[in-house]
Amino acid sequence: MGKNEIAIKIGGEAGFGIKAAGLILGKAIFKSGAGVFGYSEYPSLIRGGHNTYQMNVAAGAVASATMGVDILVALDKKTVDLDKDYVTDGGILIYDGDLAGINLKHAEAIDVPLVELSEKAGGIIARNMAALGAAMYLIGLGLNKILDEVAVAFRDKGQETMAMNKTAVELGYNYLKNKKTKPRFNINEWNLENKKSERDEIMTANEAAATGMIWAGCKFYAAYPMTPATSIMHVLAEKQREANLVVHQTEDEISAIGAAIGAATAGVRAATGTSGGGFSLMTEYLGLAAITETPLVVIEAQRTGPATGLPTWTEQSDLKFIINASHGEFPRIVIAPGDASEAMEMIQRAFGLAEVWQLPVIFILDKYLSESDFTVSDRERKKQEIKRVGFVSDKELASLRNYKRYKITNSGASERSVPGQKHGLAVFNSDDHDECGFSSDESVNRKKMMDKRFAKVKLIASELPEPIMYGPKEAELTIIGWGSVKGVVLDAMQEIKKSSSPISEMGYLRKEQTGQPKAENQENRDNKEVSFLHLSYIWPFPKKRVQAILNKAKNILLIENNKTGQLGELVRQETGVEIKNKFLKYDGRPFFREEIVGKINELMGQ
Amino acid sequence: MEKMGAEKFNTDFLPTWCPGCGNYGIWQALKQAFLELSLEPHQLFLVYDIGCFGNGANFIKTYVFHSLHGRTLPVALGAKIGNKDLTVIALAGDGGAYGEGVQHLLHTARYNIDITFLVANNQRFSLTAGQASPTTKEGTITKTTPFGEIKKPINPLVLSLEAGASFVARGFSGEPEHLKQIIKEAIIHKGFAHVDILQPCVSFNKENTYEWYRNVIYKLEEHRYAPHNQERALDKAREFELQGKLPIGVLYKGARETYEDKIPQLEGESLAKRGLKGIGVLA
Repeated sequence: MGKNEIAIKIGGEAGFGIKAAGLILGKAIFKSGAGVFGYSEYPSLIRGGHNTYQMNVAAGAVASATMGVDILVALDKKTVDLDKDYVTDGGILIYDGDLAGINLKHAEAIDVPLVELSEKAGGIIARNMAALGAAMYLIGLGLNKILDEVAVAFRDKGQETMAMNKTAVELGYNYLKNKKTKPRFNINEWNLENKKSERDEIMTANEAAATGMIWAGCKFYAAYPMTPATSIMHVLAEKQREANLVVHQTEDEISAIGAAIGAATAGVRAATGTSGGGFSLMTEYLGLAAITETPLVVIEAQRTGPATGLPTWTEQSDLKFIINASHGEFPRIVIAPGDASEAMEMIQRAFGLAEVWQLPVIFILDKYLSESDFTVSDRERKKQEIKRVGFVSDKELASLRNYKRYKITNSGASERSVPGQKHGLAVFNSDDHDECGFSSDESVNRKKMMDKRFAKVKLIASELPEPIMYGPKEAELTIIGWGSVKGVVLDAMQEIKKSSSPISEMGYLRKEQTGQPKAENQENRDNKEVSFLHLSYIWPFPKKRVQAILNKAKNILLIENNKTGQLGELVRQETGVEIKNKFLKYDGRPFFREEIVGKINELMGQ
Repeated sequence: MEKMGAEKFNTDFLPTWCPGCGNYGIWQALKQAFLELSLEPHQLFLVYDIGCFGNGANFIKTYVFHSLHGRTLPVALGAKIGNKDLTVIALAGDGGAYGEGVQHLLHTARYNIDITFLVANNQRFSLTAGQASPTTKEGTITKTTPFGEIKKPINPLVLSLEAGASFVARGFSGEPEHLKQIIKEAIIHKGFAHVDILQPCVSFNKENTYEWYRNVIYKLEEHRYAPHNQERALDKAREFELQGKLPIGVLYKGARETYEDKIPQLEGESLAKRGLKGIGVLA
């Protein structure tokens, strides 16, 4: 972690308002001009257990969590026991002396009577807010900044609740102030001017994707609740009236994808979303979307498997399943954004691609992306133009004698009619079919139809955006990864280089490059050259680009949040390149920055 | 019974059902109902299941979606929300409707979306050559139940009534004229309409023949039955188990706000129409 970065972690039982408190603090800090990345951990229960919310706060952009924390706010004894060893040297532990006695050698423990202060404010439920006040004091930010965020967070909860929470924040803040405790990590001393726009926001990839879906003109979202995909449905359900879309909560995931296919067939941009378990149920219908050539977006927010796995933890273990899901062979597009900004941008493209190519597009997220808070800059928040394409107009239909829904074309896509159009009758058929859609098991026709559907692949492959290469063209070490490892790998690369550049500047430099392939060669050379090939558009596989880069690479490191190195297997399958160095993590936790830095240093002979 | 005009719903393909199959009667009744309701082929969206009855997807000239086994209702629901101007009908056999996809029946009935569900019930899986289905009578010997079926059959009309279907009826493929009337009423009804259609399978069900049915069925409307009371409808739905008689006709018809009418986003033009503005589609 750089000098201009701190990590703050709040821990306590489920029901203590850990995430709520963390988000309030995060937003207050964010509005002060610092970059914030928020990461939460929690078990699958509503009360008890051990919940934490950690925010990494930096002068510049930050997109990953560290293992070490500078300020640990413990709302219960369990947090002290479990997390105290992760407090950095010179760090601080805020705890309630009435709940836990503590003696730390490497860090300072500050006793704040959180229970007593919250009771004074009106109830123990506000102990998280008292802790927030204390934390805010320690990082040198003014009381008003956090009170503003408290006001926003509790605006619908009534005057009494609002007053109690505000008072608790003040009591926590003033407790340390009155004791003349010195603020330890004064972020006001960081150079924060002009680093960001006031319209930058922090949001999860799920929230970003939901916004992107609305922008893309998605008018129907059918889903069944499943962590970590559910918050997409929450956001869309909340906004459905203003956005004029329909959110349909179904009896199961099978019904969800079926309904989305029905709406898409009717001519509506439609999507469904779930996690691995629900996606497993959806697979038969996925094939139906493929054979009926129905444009469909399916969001798969991964969590650990198999079966229920660790239901609230992260993993990148569904890649090969997604690429191969459902019986039979058919083309599909698979997109895995690396952060919230990419989720917002790429989901819009997903709808466009589904419509142009009339096939299922699977959009991969994971718990880490779905529930971590990322910075999405004003610049990155862009609504793309909606182009409805691939339809046959009423006029054309009237002049055609014999419209064929599945007409054989060079591109593989045929102009589609929608039910209700007068001369566009068609059978959307799960049986393989002739050009009009009527069932046909005739051998020549079967081959033609398979070839028609697969004709799309070549063109798609040539049109999809290529994977982005970060860092120098020639490097000692080339990292390859996909999806959610993006932020942590880039932050680790910055950390390794930071001796020559302050993290703030480098951080924003990196941010500007996000989403633009010209990132190569923009960074200064130094003696620890690491490059990073990040894949978001994974299927059809970007064979040429990956092959060209890996063939030239001196040393390759595969980084994946799974057990078997699934991208590595795909790389070998598609390019013949076998990657020997693999850094794989499959304990349900994401990669923390120190782990990546350590691995790079190990491979670079440090 | 085919009257002038119904042939416009014929495709170039002739049905491949066995001679004497109950599907013919349902097919005729369906086309006749469309004709008498002045429905045009392009206004209709028919979602077919997999099975003998599902093969009907190729024999009727409307917009047709031939879905997966057991999975007609989700597609039908999505299409209706997508374009509420369409007349949406899901068509399945007893295997798909009451076995593989029975959850969709219960929930779609609960939602009360304005679609019609026609189930051809011949008490067998016939396209796979005659295994016991969820409606097969206990003790029936089939290829998968060589010692007699040991499971109790489902009563589909009780299920959908309990789940909240606002229109529940039973028809008989051997009475196509009567069936046509039921189908017309079902289509006109605003809300989820479930029609269980008793249908002989001449190849794999030697017990429930046309003759057998004629001996047990009677028409509700000939007995001054008023289909507006759910409790009475449940009694009628159970009459065969209790008294050995099979009433056909409309068992229940209730007024209940539809799913789509409760969604303000669906007021005005259909979602499809709005989304396709400016490109000459559904203009």
